[in-house]
Amino acid sequence: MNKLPYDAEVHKLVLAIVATPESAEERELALRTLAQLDALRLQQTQSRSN
Amino acid sequence: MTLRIIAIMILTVSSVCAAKQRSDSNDPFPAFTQAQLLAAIEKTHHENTRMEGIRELIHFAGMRLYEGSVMAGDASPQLTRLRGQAAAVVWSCADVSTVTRALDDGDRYARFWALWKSDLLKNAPTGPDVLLPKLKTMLHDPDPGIRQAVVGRIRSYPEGPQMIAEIEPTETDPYVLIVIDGYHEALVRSLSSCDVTIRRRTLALIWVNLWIQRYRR
Repeated sequence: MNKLPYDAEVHKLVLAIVATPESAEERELALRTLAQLDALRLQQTQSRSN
Repeated sequence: MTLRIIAIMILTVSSVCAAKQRSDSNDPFPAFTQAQLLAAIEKTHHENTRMEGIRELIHFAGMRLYEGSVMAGDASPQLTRLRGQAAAVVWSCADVSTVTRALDDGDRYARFWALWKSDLLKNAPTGPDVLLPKLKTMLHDPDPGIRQAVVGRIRSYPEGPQMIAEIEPTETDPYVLIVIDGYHEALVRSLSSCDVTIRRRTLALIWVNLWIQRYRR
């Protein structure tokens, strides 16, 4: 699979799952995913400013 | 760094394959002996046991059946060599009749291998007439990995886009939806699903993809 591009709508949906998870497992997975999305957004912001 | 990436890729592929195989048996790619390899090869020489032998060899070969520039090795060099031999025999068995039968096999690994070799049918004189109806049926395969591979292949037929459009509304797997609709639509739809299994599979897809991206940098 190719690299996923940063997608703000996907980011918002993951945040929504973190806020209202159906289980502790889902919250844990959503938090890990959120951390990766935050890092990707930061990376893209930095590469734009360089 | 390159070795690290290769190790990550192999681990990821192995984990996915192991997860997919759970419903078939406990170990998709079991260890085996030279004698077992020879016995499986012998089965391929007889019409009534040919598919059984090929099925065994596909599981013996494991990821070596699909290796390209990176070798899919085992902890044991001897087993790696035996798996390579099994893979070579499976490839040598790829003829129109065998691939046609394998597309209908009950074993998802056999079906996946047949899909991999399905260009043999496409290029055969009666190939498209045989292959296209099979591919259409396989768009409903219980294994999302198979459905994903079928979408990629069926697109090249004039009827392909219509067949894909027919299954798109009921498709739920994010990996298959990405191939059909692209990242944005597939991920938004899957993350918005009421089914927690679909949401978790989508979260895992995103996490794994981004995790690999970070290590590739």
